[in-house]
Amino acid sequence: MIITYQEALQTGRIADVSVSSRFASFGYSETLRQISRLGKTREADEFGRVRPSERAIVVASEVAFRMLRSAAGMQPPSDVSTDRDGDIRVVWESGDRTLELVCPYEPSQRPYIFYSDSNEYAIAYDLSVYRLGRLLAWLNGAIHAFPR
Amino acid sequence: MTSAPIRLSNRANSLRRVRNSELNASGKVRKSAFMPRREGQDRDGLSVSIETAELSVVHRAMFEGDGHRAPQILVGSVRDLPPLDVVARPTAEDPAHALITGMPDRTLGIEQLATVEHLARELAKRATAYTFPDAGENRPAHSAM
Repeated sequence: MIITYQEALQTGRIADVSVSSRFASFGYSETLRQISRLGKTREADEFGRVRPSERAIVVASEVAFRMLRSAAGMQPPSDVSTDRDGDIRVVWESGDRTLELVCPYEPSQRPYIFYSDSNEYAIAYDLSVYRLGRLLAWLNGAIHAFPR
Repeated sequence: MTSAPIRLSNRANSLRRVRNSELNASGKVRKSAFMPRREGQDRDGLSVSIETAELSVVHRAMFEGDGHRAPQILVGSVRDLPPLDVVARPTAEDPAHALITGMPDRTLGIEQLATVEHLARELAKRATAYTFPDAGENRPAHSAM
């Protein structure tokens, strides 16, 4: 199930979340909208899977919600798609800094974030609110050092 | 006695068969076009074809159609990303078939996965949209192989 920002506000599920920026809520809603759209694509083509699994959609939506909860500032994604394994890929870019959330089709595979700038790259499996907040803060320029 | 492997020129242009959705209207290529599959379908390398004037008609039939297109990337641009290389692997259907080799096995660990993600992203950034010449167009037949 996907929880939209408005629904979450109405049901009080994020009542304790401090979201001062309308831009953050727009970024979250837009992320959910584009993730949800992937569930309506065809199942597969000659290159592989196209439609993500329902589990991947749920996981991607949950991670997006954690990003919103981090209150570190969530911009709309620059790209949302699936790869040939049916993994969901959500990309946020700011200058030369990139965050890419990857939610695998197979439930047995762990979601992760690939992040990079022009000099370094790394992967994070820790998708806690704290860790996501640090990554978003780095993307938005509030943190200068490359996250370790 | 085996024949020596064909050394591809850095100036050779390689074409990669991709989904329409992996190439947007502005010519930007999505990373997924160069991301090796998890289950090992691309373990030998990422399949490409070297552009040649002689095979233009054959390649057009292979690369342009419903649901798929062909971005281009120079062999030299691939080799700028060590340990990647482009090696000739001719097939009966495509004498100009080649493979982008050197991608780590993404299933081995987090470092290998990070490197694969990085290399796929860099390949996508270097790739551009390709338009096949119109039939009969006089295009320079540079020696690619």
